[in-house]
Amino acid sequence: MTIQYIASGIIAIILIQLIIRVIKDRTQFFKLLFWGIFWGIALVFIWLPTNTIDKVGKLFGVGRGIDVLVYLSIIFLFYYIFRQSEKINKLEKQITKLVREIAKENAKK
Amino acid sequence: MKSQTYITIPMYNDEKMILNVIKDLNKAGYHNIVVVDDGSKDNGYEVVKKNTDAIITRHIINRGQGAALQTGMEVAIDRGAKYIVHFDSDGQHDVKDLDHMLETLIKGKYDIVLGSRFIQENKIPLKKRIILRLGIIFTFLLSQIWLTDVHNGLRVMTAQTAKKLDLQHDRMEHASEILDKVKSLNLKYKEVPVTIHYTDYSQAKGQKISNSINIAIKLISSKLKN
Repeated sequence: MTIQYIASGIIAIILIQLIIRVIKDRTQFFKLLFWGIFWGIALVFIWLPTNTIDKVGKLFGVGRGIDVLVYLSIIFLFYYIFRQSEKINKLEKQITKLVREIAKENAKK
Repeated sequence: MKSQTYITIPMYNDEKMILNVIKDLNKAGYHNIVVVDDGSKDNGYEVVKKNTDAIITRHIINRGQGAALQTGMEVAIDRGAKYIVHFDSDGQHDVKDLDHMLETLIKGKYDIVLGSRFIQENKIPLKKRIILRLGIIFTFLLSQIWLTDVHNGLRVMTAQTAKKLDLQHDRMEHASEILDKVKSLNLKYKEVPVTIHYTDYSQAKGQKISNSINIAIKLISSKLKN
């Protein structure tokens, strides 16, 4: 049970930080909404009775429900890293293009 | 021949050597020189601008040797180059090799002529020799092209070849990218022996083993994407 209290505490801190940020800068409201829902769902999962989550696990053919969550998180994280590296590569190419155009203009002088 | 040849020199923190390199090229009759300062931290750009008649331009931030070469080639093509040479700014290439390389390119109707330090006797440090040999095997596995030297920066090509190459890799992977394109575009190529001057200066600036691994990872991932 201790782990559930620790996790809830961490989530509470994250949410408080988010709320403070939104108070300072109201344009970030959508961010609060998105992460609020995300962490809210995480809280529900943390406090769901073990057998309920395990039913979900059995549905996926994995023994424990928490394992399903771990597997899904890893898949999501890998996908997220892949997307991010694609984005960085694209940005790098755009930066080079920009720097090159400036250099070529400069060479004409 | 020489008046239609443009020498592309990517320069990064080579303030101390660049003037000698340009002077040697001028002495040998090469006057179309494009120096691309790749966001150097030293005064190389000013030094070249004040003391030579080379075309000098600058990447306002460092983008890597591949990016600088591509910029240099585009500037050379815009100026009407017929032949393009890749030449290093740290003084390790020998101007004496250029005439022979150009002649080989033109007489043999090659698309690209590549310098190789392994065809003739060169004093290559052992560590460097091992990395370069591994590079040869790696390049063969990746691009199915077997050469005696895969990371030699001295190249001579026609302007059409330069247009086709269109380098996408900004950093050191461009050397392998060129070979990959030589194979995939079915370019007519030849390796010729060249002299490389290994000085303490060029050694200190050279490739490290960790960087070779980095290059390999980037090349494999870009191959998987294509």
